[in-house]
Amino acid sequence: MFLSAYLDGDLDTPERLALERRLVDDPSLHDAFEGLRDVVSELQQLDDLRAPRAFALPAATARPRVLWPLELGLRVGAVAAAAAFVVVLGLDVQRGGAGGVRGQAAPLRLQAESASSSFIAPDASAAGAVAASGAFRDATAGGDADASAAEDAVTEPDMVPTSFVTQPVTPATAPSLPAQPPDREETPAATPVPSRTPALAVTSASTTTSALQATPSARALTPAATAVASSTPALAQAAAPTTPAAAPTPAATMTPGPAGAPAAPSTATTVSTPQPAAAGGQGAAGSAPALPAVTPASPTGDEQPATEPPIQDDPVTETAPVPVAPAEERGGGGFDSDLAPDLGSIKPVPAQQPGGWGQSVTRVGVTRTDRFDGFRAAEFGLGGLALGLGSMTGWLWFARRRGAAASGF
Amino acid sequence: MTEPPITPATPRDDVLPDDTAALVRRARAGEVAAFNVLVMQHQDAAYSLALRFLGSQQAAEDATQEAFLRAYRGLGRFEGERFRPWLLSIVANAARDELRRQRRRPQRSLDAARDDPDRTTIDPPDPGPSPEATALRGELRGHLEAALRTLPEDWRMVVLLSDVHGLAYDEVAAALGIPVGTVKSRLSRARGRLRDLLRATREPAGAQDRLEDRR
Repeated sequence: MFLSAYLDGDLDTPERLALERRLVDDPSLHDAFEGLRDVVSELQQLDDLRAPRAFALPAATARPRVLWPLELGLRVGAVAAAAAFVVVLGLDVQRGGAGGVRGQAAPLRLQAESASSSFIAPDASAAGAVAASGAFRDATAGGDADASAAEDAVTEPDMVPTSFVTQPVTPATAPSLPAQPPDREETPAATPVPSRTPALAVTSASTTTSALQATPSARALTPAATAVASSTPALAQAAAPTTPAAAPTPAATMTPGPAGAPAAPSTATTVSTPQPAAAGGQGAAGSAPALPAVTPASPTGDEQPATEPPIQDDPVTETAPVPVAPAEERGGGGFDSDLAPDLGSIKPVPAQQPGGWGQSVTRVGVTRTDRFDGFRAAEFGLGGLALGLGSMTGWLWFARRRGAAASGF
Repeated sequence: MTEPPITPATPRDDVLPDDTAALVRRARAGEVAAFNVLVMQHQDAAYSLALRFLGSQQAAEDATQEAFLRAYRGLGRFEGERFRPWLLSIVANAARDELRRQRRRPQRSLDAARDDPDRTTIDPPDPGPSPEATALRGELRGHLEAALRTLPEDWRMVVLLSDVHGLAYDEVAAALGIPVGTVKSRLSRARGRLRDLLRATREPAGAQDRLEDRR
């Protein structure tokens, strides 16, 4: 390496002098150095080879490409749009959107009669639970068209109406009670409300024949209904003497409580229960313990007097939307089995067809929310933008390649 | 497949061929004619470097053309005063890229005989003054070219840039992206290898000459 550096004059003075002394003293080293110098001399004398052709650039090809900034911008834009699309899509999927199916019940628009004590299917899962029990069919096998419709609605999730309402009842005969916790079994008859009208609202005062009413005896109750019966002896006893032949009149069968009882607000659809003996029920109802009102719509079961409008003695029925809390808030969205028999009093209303985006549609088991929100718009916009920019970039690339091939490059 | 003829832009009359800096400035401004003047000045050197490194005329042409195209597009990054080393560095990289491309897609062309590694000479055109001198010089150059082709690629490129094209150590290092020390070591080893190879080829010739002298 010192010889090569010496040939190139890359050694400093001490090294050069030392090497020169060795070259004089060492013939073999001198011979090697001579051979190396010949090689370098020969290499430096190599002439440039003549080019077989001119490598001058054609003006068209060598012209600065004006499309470079545009192409670069398109590429960057396409990548950015695609990345934004992925991010927005991920966020939308994460929040359960993108037209997906949610297990969360959307607010049900209920038309509850102010004076009626009715039961409204809390969500589709409740109806599904009812469908699972054959007793429900037994209970609804009494030829009640309404009950059959409800059953059909339950057993055919896709065809189920979007909401249920009960038939109106006169407030004088069956004023509803305030909301109560749905887990009645956990709070069995421990919260009697003597001051309220003890109407057994399950048997609505209207022409609707509930499943419970159609049931000749307690045997027809489903297990869920049995739970109801077990926890509501007054209910079972009151229902026992009822026969199909004797068309029950709700007022007679489930006698309301004292006439002077204050009216209960009707902020939620409830299953009212007969009140204690003091309520003046019929038959054994007098000895039956009071049943708490079952309120599937109540999130926590807490009464909310402040929001409950007072029941008016005016028999005029009024319709008020009753918000129903999501299933999660009500304890996982499960079906309150003790409410199963009460589905007989449910009147399906004509299904509200999805009116397009932005409308929550409640179906049995699931709630599908079609939302035309910002995410959806962003997804469509960004996806289209990325696709468009990518296509333009590809077209430019293809055109440039064709141009280069045509010009010989 | 016939390639469309390349119609180079005609250099302007007022271009000063020796004014490389002015040509570079005009080429930077988008004047292809000025750049083509630079091409005409350096294309032999560029082609020689590519051919001696690649050993294939077609590959050398492709690499040279690609190098000039890169040089034109990269004129904005040229900040030095010496255009030739900068251009040769581009040619060197283009030739190395071409060699890698050939290795990825090996193919035998009509120049298979030229690409034959057993072939000892590149057979470049040589405008020698006389047939005898041409033969002697061609023989010596042929041995040297053959010896060059036996060198490892890294060594070969260093020798070509440093000894054949006269680039300094730092210029070679900058062109190949290696340290200067690496350039020195590779150059020293390459020279030593070439020396040994040339001696090995000259020994039989010398012995033959001594035998003929005795007769």
